[in-house]
Amino acid sequence: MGIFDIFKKKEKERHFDPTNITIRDLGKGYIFEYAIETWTVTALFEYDWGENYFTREFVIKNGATEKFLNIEDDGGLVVTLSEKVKLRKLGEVTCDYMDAHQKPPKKIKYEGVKYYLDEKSPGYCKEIDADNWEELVSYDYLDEEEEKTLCIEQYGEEEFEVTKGIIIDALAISNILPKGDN
Amino acid sequence: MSIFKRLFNVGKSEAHSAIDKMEDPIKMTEQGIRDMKNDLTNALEGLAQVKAMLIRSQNDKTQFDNKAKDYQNKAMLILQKTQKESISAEDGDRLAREALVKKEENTEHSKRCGIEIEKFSKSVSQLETNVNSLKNNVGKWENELKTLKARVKVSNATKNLNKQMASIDSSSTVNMLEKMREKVSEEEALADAYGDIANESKSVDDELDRVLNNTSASAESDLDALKKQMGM
Repeated sequence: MGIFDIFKKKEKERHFDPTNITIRDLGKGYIFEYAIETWTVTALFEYDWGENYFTREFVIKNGATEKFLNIEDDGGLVVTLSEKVKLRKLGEVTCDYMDAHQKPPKKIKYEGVKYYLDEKSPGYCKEIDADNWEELVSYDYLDEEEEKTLCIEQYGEEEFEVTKGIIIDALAISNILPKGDN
Repeated sequence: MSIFKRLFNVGKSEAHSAIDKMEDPIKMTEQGIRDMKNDLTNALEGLAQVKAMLIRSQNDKTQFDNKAKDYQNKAMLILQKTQKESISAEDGDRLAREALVKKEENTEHSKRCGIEIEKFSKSVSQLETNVNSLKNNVGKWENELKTLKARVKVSNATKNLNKQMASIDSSSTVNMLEKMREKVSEEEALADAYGDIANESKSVDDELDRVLNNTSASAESDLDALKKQMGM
């Protein structure tokens, strides 16, 4: 180190260790590998479930395919990879029930898999750079083996968003590359 | 060598020696690793940028290929319509030609993307090799530093323990007792010395008196006379 190095502008502190960037460090613009494919994080959503408990959802793209990577850190790390499903695809029975009750049923059969309601969580959601939080109720379903997930998010009385997914190992996300600040 | 040059060299060596004492090798190594990690982060960010360009080129190529295929299909459909006389031969040829021109344009774009993909792929694999090597080195040095820190701790503890065992620690009780013992010996020696000096300082007259001292002899003869007087 030269004596004049102390006059140089101080380097910005990074929140990650470059020798070991983990899924917890992911951010917008980051690139990573999953299932021998390269994915880019295009957006980042934050969920506030109250009592200082937050989860994060990353919108990831691989060419034309768009998926969601959900990270829940409640002591242990639960990583869910999901994709959007049209509400009507859940079948007539489910859709009729939701029309009648303004909420989804406790059991849903979709694509031959039986999903059971695991958790109903009211909370708030916003894109990381946005100012306003949006109120929602999340209905999280799991199959019998607790490997497959189905999530119905309710915004207002009649707006529902559905995603189906799988729980993956955090280590399946590898070769994470950070995005520069500039 | 002139005297000034020698003086300068002496000054230089003293300054180096003082700086050497100031330098903590562990702190210096930690700073070095921090610097290397910054370099690694920059390299990772650079790699991410090139990879993003590669992904963009791959996506563009797919789009151009699809468009080229689409124009090819359109040209074929138009020719089929011409054949079925749905449109005039003249219009059909013109539209098919334009579709083929568009197809050619997209094929050219796709080729350009193909060249970019090849270029970016090479850069990515080269950068990945460098980044991995840097990552391995940082990891290796970090582990080495951990081991060295542990060794320093162990050697310091051993040194302190050995010092205490050897009782050479200036603050130890054993050392204080030792010092006290020395002090007492010194005091005793001093007292003896004073005694000797006191003996030596007696005058010749005193010595003569001591040798010729007949007080006790006269007392003896007085006692004998008294006994005779009393008939004993």
